[in-house]
Amino acid sequence: MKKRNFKNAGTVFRYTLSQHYKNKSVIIFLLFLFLLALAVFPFVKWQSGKESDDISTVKSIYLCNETAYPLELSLENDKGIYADAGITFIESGETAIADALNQDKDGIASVISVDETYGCLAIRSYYSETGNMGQSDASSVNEWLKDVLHDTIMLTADVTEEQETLLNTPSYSSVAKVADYQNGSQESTTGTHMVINYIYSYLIIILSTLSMGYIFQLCMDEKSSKLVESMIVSIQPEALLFGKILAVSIFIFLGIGIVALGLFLSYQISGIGSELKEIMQSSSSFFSEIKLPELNLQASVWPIIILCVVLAYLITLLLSGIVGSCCSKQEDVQTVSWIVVAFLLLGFIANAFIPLLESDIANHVISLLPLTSIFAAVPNYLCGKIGMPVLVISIVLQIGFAVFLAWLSGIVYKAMLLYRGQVPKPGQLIGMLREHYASEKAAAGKEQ
Amino acid sequence: MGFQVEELFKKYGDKVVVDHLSFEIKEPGVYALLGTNGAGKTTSIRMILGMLSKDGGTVKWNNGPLTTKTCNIGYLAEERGLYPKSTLMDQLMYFASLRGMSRSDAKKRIEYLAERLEATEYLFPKQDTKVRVKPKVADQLSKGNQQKIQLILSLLSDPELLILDEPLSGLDPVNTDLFKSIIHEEIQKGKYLIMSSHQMSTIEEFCTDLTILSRSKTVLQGNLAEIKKSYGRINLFIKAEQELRPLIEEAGVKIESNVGFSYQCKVTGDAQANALLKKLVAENITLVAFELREPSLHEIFVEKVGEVHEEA
Repeated sequence: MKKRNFKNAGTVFRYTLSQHYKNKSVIIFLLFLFLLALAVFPFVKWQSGKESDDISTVKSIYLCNETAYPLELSLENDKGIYADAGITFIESGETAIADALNQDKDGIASVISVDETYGCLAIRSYYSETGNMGQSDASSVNEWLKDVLHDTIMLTADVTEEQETLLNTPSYSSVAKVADYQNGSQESTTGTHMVINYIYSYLIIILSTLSMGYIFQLCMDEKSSKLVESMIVSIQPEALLFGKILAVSIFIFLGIGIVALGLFLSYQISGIGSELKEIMQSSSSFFSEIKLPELNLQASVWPIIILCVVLAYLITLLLSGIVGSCCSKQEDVQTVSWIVVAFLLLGFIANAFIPLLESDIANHVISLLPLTSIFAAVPNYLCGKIGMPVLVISIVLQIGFAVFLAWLSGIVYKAMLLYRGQVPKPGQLIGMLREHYASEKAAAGKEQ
Repeated sequence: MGFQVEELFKKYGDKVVVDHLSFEIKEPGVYALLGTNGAGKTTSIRMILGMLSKDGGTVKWNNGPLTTKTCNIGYLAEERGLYPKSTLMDQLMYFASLRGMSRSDAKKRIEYLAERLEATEYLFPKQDTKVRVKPKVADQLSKGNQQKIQLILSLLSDPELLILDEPLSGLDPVNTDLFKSIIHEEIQKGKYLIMSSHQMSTIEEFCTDLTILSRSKTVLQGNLAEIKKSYGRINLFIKAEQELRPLIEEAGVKIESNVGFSYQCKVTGDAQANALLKKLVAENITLVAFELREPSLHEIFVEKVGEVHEEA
């Protein structure tokens, strides 16, 4: 790869990017994304507020308390969303429940009992199939009764709020090698590792798939417009491809930036603040798996993470460029896009399942192998599965891989630029590249 | 100054597509690269421009290698196209920028060429006071008008070496004349032109030297006037007011075709033509036309390419 081969890449970059933003549909789409992002937190806040403030449509609750806990104690204080509902205590038995629900179409009947098999308390709620209430109403009453029962137990035991907080103090557990403990580093649990893996892999996949289509389209447009032959009198194919890749990546990052700005403004406007963590944890157990103290997430690591994301993105873009160079028409895009998708899936699947093996060797291999390292190296480092030296080696290997792909993409793009046939089969492509490379080498030798 | 191609060679697998092509352009003017379909013209041009790697040979400009650094090259490709959805002006400015031109220089040059090619209305649409006229995109133009924009693209940087691959194909007579006037202008400005075309009359109009390719090989090369001279004046056109066939055949002259009392004949040389003329005068024939001329490029081309095909 020679520096002069990239001359004018900046001009291609500016032109490609400006053409994107001259497209009205792109501007409308970005504006729509921004407005959508702006609405996120106010909507979340409104929805969570609505959930807590709403008055339920359940008009009557028939309670059959088979435990010794006096539920009345806590029901006197706060009935929450069932403030307007009538609460009637009924006797045990199927007949009493059936009678109550047959007479009242807007009622839910609940039985609170002791489950001796599992040694716990059980809450079961029933609704009439001929009534106005449904399964979600019964589930909602169940959730409410859980809180009522908890409050009743606390009141019965005469536990104060402070004591209750103490009793409910959460804890987490982890295991680590003694060497790591001595070094001050720690290894995170499999749960945290899996979640971090998923989040990071999704980030790379989303970035790559967003850009992949654009790259394919740009490569194909260049060839189908037949303008390329006139262009490469003024510019090297490497610069042409690189300028386009750069434009697409900036376009995608700007799009993400617009969404991030929208979310930031949305966060500020909504004033959701600390409620957000609570809402996220209550709405998804997925995020609750992340134990931040377990992660190597010091401020100094952030630039390395950003570098790794950029590298991973660049590698997938170059791969898209190589594959896109083989497309001459729209139908070809469908034929070849699976190659990049397969590459991404391979990396993603390896990254998703190998941590389950809890093997140090496997974690090191997937962190170093360029095909999987773009997904695995960062999560493995964050979760303490690999150390900084391994991460640095992985980054160096990724840079080497990116340089190799850039070189290869230049050759493929140049070889395929004037090719107008069907998408070549791998064997054909290798043959063409070998021939092209041999000619280039011979020509270079003669020039010298 | 000068342009030189030496032993240019290319093969795909075992198939040779350009077989040791060599030619030289010592002075400004038009050099023609002729050949049948698939003879290797476009491949040769692509190798000359460096967009296709060569398996052998060198291309020189002023005794150094031909690159975009050493020579300002303009190229009108045979496969023409424009970005369909971008405005024409954006595309031209983009190309100008790739050629390292400033915006103001590029605009001046575009204005000049647009005027010369009668394409101003597409590139600088007049603004209506009431309705804003949108800049034109390539999709809105006819094929001929798109071709004008492509010629502007190739001439943007005022190139020293201009390569035109089938420049007049698909043009109507009016646009053909516009293109020809531009080519004449470039010749007068002392530019080097390499032109490939199937239209022999066009080549005859412009070129001084030529190479004819057939099946990847050079079958004829040299100065067009000298080539014609070497063939001698063998075409004889006679027009009279009466039947001449028996007299012509008696003189041993071969009649190629005849319509009414007009005869297209082949003679062996000046002597045979003179003998026939003497005979016709002696017979007191009134001649409307008696023209002895060299073979046309078309005839030379067909003869030379035909020989190769027969040998094959």
